[in-house]
Amino acid sequence: MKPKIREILLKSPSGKAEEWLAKQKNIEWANGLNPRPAKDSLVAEIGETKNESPELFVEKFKGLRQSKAFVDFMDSCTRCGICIDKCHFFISTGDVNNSPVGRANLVRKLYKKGNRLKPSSVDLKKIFSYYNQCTECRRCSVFCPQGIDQAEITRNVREVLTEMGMIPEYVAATLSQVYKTGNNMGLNPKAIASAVEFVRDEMTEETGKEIDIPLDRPKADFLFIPSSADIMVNNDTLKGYAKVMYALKKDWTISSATSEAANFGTFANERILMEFGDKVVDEAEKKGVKEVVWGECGHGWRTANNYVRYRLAEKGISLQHVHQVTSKAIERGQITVDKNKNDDLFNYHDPCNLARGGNLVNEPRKILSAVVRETVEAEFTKDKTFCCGAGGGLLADEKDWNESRAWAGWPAVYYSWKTGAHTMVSPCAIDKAQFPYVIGYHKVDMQMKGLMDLVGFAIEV
Amino acid sequence: MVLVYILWGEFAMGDEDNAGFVMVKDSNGNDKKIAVDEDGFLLNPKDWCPGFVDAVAKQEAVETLTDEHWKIINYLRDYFTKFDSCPPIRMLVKNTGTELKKIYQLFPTGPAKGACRLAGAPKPTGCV
Repeated sequence: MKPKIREILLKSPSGKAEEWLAKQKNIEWANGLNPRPAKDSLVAEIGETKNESPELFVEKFKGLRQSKAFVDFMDSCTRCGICIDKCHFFISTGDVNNSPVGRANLVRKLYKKGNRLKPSSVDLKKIFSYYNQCTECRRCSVFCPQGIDQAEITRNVREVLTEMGMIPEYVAATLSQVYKTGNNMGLNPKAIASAVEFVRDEMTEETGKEIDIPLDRPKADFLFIPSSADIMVNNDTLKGYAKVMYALKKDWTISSATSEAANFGTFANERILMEFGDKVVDEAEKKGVKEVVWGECGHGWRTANNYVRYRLAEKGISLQHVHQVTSKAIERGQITVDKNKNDDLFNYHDPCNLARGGNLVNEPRKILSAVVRETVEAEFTKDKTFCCGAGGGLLADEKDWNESRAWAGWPAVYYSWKTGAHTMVSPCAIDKAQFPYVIGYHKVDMQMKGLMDLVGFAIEV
Repeated sequence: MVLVYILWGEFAMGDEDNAGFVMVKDSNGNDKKIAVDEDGFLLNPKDWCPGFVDAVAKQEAVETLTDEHWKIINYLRDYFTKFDSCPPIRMLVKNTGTELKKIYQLFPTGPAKGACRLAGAPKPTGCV
């Protein structure tokens, strides 16, 4: 099986590798893979109109020439092929269209036609499919001798597709919830209050201390932006935040209007990305905070660090990631931790958007080595980290799609498993949902924890 | 034995052309048609009735509905009616006094997907 790295598929203890590889002999199979497209009514909820005409695609596609990055990436590829086996979707499917260069070529051949591009040469179904099998992880860009970033090409093409209403249902449904409630899970203020109160009571039971999770205080110094998944599912992560803020005696609050660190606009188009980012800026200004603290989320931090940060700066408000806050506090001895509370071997998994889009590589490691007994690095780490297989809006839980993302996530889990660690640690809400599924599918004896979960277990309050 | 018809994708409805219907018995024992999405979640959570659970439990790998199942479903349904959301999983464990392992035995497709779907919640969005 070529290239050699694909042999890791056969090492899955799931016993399903042969069956998965057999499917790939059918060329039409991969062409039809992608999360289900959104219906007209859902597309309208995110402010777009469905119009799947190749004529419209051609018109909008020509507009991409205004993007210098897109033009550079279209022109500078030498077809050297180094990127091909660096992509987890190529490794899992063996389909060249599912490699960075193959995916780019689907639109490069249209780009090369320039003004002579005709609607009849556009295969919209194929473009939609393969451009929704890219997780925008940017791993290819680290290996490309020309520095071509396929994620940037994907974002440009999705910009066009989104404006034509061609967007996966899962992404559109999540965006629609943010417009309605301010968070991905569609939680109203009452639901958030109920969950937060429950977590607060649990902490009181566990520690005997009144550790608050302040919600909707009208004024505070710090506005904390958690992932909505922290409130509903990853409660240990939420406890980690609260304990650090408590130990540092910070005057902080969560706001039910902006309880979402993620920004699925990143997976759709810039208009939505900026609208969601601006929501946080407006809320921070309204509450008169000095600083915004971002919770554990991969792509959301990339957006915050590269867009929200500068919008906040215009208002004189600073931005930090909770790992920056925690790492400094540990270094300065402002919080004390007991490593023995996490007595095991841990492997840190770099989320793509922290390592390749958010400058957060060292702080998480400093924190992890302070709060656990033993850590180990995987073969591909830091900027060479493998994607979980569900970023870029591909975490859709759909019958036809689930198998695909289980295999796309296998390289990351395989190399972590090979370290001998029993726990994978990742500060990304998509990882926290995807990895337990991939681990379960492949029947690997591992578990998944958030980094702030482990801080919460180890911190002495 | 209540006769239940499950009709998938039989009737087109507006632009939700791929959605389907489930035939259920309402509280008076009359047949009632409920619209569901492609994954079988209720399109309108207000349409929920116990007959929906009877009709689709097998799809969530629940062979026989017992009092223990109903205890979880009723708790989730009450919570959903109040908060428009399912509770955190640990809250479900605590307030129903049912261990997580037991919940997975009762609902093999899991609390978030299986049990919440039966309780009438829509398909979850976001990072879950």
